Amino acid sequence: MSEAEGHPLAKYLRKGAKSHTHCSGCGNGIVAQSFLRAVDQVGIPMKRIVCVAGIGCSGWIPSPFFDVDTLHVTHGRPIAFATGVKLANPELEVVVFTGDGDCSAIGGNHLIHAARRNIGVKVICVNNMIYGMTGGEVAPTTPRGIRTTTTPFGNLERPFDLSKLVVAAGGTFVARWTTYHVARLVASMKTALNRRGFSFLEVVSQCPVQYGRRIGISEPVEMMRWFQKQSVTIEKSREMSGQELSDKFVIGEFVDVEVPELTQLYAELFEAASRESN
Amino acid sequence: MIIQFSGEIVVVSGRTWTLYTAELSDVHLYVQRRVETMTSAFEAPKIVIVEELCKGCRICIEFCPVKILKTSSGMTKKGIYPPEVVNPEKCTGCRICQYYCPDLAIYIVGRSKTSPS
Amino acid sequence: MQGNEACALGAVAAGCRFFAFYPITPAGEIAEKMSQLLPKARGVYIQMEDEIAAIGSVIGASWTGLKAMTATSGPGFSLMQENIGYAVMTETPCVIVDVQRAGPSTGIVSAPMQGDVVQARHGSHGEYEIIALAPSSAQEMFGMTIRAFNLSEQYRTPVIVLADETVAHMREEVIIPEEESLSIINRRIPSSQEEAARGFLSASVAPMPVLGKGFSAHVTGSSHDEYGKREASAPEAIDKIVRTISEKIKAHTAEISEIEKVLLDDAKVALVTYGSCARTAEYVVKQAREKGINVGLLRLKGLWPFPSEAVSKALASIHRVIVLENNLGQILPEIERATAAETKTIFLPPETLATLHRPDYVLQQVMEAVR
Repeated sequence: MSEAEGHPLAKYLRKGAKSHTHCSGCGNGIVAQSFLRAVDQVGIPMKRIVCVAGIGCSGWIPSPFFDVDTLHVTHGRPIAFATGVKLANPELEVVVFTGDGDCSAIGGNHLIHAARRNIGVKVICVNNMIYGMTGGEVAPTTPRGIRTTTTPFGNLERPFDLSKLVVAAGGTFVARWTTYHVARLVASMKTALNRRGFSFLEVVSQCPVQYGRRIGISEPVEMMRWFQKQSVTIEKSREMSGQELSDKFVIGEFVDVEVPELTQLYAELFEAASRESN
Repeated sequence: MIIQFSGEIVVVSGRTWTLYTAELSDVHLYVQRRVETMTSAFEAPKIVIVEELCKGCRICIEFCPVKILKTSSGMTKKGIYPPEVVNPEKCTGCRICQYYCPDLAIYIVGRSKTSPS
Repeated sequence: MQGNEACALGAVAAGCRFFAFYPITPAGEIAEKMSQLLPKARGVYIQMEDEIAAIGSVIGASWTGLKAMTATSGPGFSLMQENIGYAVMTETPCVIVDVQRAGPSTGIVSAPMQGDVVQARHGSHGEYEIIALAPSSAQEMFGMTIRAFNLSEQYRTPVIVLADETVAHMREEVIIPEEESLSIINRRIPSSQEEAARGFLSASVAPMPVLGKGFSAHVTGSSHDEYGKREASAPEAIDKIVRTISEKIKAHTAEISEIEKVLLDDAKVALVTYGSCARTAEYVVKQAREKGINVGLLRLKGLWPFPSEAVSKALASIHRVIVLENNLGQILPEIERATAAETKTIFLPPETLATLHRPDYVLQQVMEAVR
């Protein structure tokens, strides 16, 4: 048994895809491992898991790394594809890996509707506040004033608060952590995997090459320490002013409520429809 | 025994603390068990570094709480300098290096100092 | 019953158990009927937030093993193109009904036109083949929808049912055969892990490693090898994909794209058409024959892959070909190419686009052509 095969999570990895192509220190790898740890601890059989990946660096978390059914789809659309998969086979554990641009720019419409209809898909959104894969263009989550490849004079626009957006759209489980807070991240992932409804997990993650470099924090470790320093819990944030919060990451679980999940409602509809025709 | 995350994470002098709440009797029980496991014979776990997978990001080196990883001087085929272990007997098996590694290139075999098994 | 209704009945009869839709005229009645029929059959009707999500969720559902369909018109068809290309690339069986209306853009929502024919062939970017059928009656809305599912399952490809507003909204007698008498084709699913290991890229159509069965299928729109493994650096890989999945369809053109020959044997003039225009053409042939003119009709039931060989053979002894289309000539170049140099091809759109050809107008053209 090689050293790589000795890793406790090795059984979740596709043979012949033991390493991924993310940059050195990229937060995606931390998200990947956290997810596998959560799956391992909850004990979901791999046969039941379907990962749906968007286009962007986050898409490379499950594809081709995880040894589970994987759909690597078109940009912005993983949530739409995932909705179809879940409705067609509610037994499957459908997990979407998407990025901030993938799910809130081109894919924004699918995100808010999936939250609204409470389809039991789990969305893990890796938010690195930039379009990393294509070289560092400004994203809907890039803070104001930041100079990116396409905002050489500074970003004029305000960024989304993704978690707030999903809460407003009716998300029944919404949480935000950073790649620094792995223990909390794994715990929230486990919660998400154990509940039936739509779950949105935003993970603020370091992109040292395309974002960190542009804000003067080019080492992965430095970015993670920056997350550590700039994070405040939800409880703490309630005592802070808008000005104080403007450069902070508010972390925690924002919403966790029980609302009938869509495939459950379809099952009830099928029962009612067949009774009607008898 | 119920020990709950209080919802607070605080940073004091650069160290991050996660706060919990519990009944006093539960705290007594918890401390008793921890002392038992910590004072029982503890064999330092083995640290496995998979050099071919390492990308030299240094996250493990920087976050190790007992500072027993340092950058080695031998470049791998990938052109990076992986970590190497100094003072392996000091490893507490906390697995922070393992859990943080984005490339699954480092892991611990053996129990941590604070877990019973 | 109405053409659109018949289409929905056909889909359910073919085994469709997932239908995703975004409201658009004139496809609405298909959706309404599906929303009534599917729950009783334990199938899912879902209204998605846009057409892109509709086709996306159809592809996702198809990958779990369900037969899945969506319906739309021009503007929605345009939006769906990227994901249709994804379905082609990943060899996903699915059916897209495009009820063509007058375009471009918003156009006229309730007037027929045949402006999406070339788009059906090449609407998505990249090099690929597609199957498109052209129903011309309410009965064919039923039967061709079933055929569309069968072809999509057999060839692991998206299939487009290119209807138009007239065929969709016409009300005619439709005969629904007994369920047992219907011929239904289902996709092949690998019977073992070994067979599943090679799940993609075979000109003889690889079995499909559907999700949730432990196949660990890796499905990607990127260039890939026959195992679904991404292969994005070697041009040889994409060469193999493009050629294989195109050949998969092209090689079976004769079985896929049918033609209907009416009174061509002794004809020197032929009307060549498809869809709702064929109804006028049939009537004109009848009228002309009554006047003693030997005119025939070649109706294209399948538009893509274009059946050039069959068309060529059927029109071999025809001197004048009159092509009827409700556009400015989209299938016309294919017909011109398929006919002999000596055959003169006349293109005849309706006097006013977005209306059906007037029979007297067509008859007049036929009489002039015969002279």
